[in-house]
Amino acid sequence: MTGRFRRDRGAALVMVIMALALMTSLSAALLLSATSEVLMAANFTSQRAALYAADAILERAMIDVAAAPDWSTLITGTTPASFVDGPASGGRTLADGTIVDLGETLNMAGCHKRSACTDTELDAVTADRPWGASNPRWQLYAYGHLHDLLPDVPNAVWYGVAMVAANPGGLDDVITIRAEAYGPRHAHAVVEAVFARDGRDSDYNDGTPRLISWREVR
Amino acid sequence: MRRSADGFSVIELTVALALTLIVAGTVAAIVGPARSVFDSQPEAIDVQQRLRVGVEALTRDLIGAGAGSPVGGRSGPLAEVVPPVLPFRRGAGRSDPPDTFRSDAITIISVPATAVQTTLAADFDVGATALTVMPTVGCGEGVTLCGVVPGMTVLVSEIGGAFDLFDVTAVDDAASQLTVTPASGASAYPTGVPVVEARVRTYYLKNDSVTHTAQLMRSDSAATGDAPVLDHVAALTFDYLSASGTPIAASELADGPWLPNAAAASRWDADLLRIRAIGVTLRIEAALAAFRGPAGALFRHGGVAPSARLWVPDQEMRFVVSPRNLGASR
Repeated sequence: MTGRFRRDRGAALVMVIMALALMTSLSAALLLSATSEVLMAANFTSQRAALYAADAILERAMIDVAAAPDWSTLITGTTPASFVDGPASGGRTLADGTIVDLGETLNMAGCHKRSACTDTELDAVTADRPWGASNPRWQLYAYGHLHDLLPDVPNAVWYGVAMVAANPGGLDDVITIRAEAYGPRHAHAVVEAVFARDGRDSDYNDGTPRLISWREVR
Repeated sequence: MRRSADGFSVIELTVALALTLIVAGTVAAIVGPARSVFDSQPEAIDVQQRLRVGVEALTRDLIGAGAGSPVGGRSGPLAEVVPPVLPFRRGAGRSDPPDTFRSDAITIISVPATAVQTTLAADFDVGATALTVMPTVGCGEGVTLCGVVPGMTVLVSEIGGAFDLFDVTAVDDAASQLTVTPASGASAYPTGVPVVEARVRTYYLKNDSVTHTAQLMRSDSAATGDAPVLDHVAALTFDYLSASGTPIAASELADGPWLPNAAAASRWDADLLRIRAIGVTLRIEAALAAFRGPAGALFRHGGVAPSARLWVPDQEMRFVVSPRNLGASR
């Protein structure tokens, strides 16, 4: 081993480390790109599915609403729907470990905070609650896991909550239903629908509660 | 170990050279296609993303078409008095003629859940520029028209088919009066007719004859103007389905019978109320011509890609949206 060869000792290690670093960074970039695309697609799918899950719980609530002879007892919470999975409070655990707290869901709908809403907060005029003292006072109505509602549907991993409230315009025999669905990847969708009972001034009444408006709340 | 210092034998050299050639050849064979993939895949992802955005935007707006007034005025489904989906451009600003059918344009009308839901407090005459309305619900003390702001679009409609969309330019709260841009051919309306905030959104395809590209455009009101949603849209087609799921021919939607009557400037075809679902075909192409091959089945607009390895074919999706407010079963 001459002096010149001795000076070269260790060069292979440096080259290997450099090559390894290059390959690692390339692999990491490729993995990040592929993973983010997959996650984006998965989140997109979950969010779309959440909307349909919310619509499903809305439809389920509507069955009981249509059968109820007196809607005022629904609005006061005296008559809950037949689709409930326990007391109207406390947490419910989803398949991925997420906990849905019914009380918090109700408060978020009323005043956008997790703790209980005050009357002032409920009457506040906001973009999504523009009727002041006539703002909806939501009442929990139907709630449960969607796999209990749809046992034949695979991967029905959603939890649905439906609330009811009186019409902000003070119209009789009109009820507002708000349906929310929670699912994987923090997916959450909300729809609100207004239904009117037969007997109101309309050429289109056919004897059953009819839909006045359905909208996705974003 | 003296032998190692004697140099390489011919056999050793030949084997080493062969191995080197094999490895180098393999790498060279892989590098070319790999480079093409690295070049084209970001473009392919972009095409997918744009398609996803387009589907999402159209679905979200179409699914809520026809939401009616839940509070004041004359609450009820919008489809009782107004066609929630129009196969042409209609709005307070620029509108297509009423007997138009455009397969690449759609106007979606709904009433948002706001406090701006009231009725006319005085007759509205043809050519007038002010709507006098009743106080709205939920306003604070001293306020009668809460929520009404300049730039808002309001819908005035009457049972029998007359409806007009107006852009609010000023609000006189004390007089409960809205100054509006006079709509071309607007009808006269009597006291008591509903006046509600309207969400009117038009999607249409805008072709650029110079660059031979097209954009999906969105128009909300005259005040906000038109905004591009997607670039490099190769095709956009709307078609319409009845309650039985059968297609409604384009000619049926622009040939009458007319509401409120055939002479009205803002007339509309009564068959529009038969629409229960909207089919959308959206085709997106690669933005760069360098990733498009010759025009044909894979490419609506040809490109200059030198190799098929660089091709990013157009992506097309057809989907059908049933607006919940038009559901025949509800």
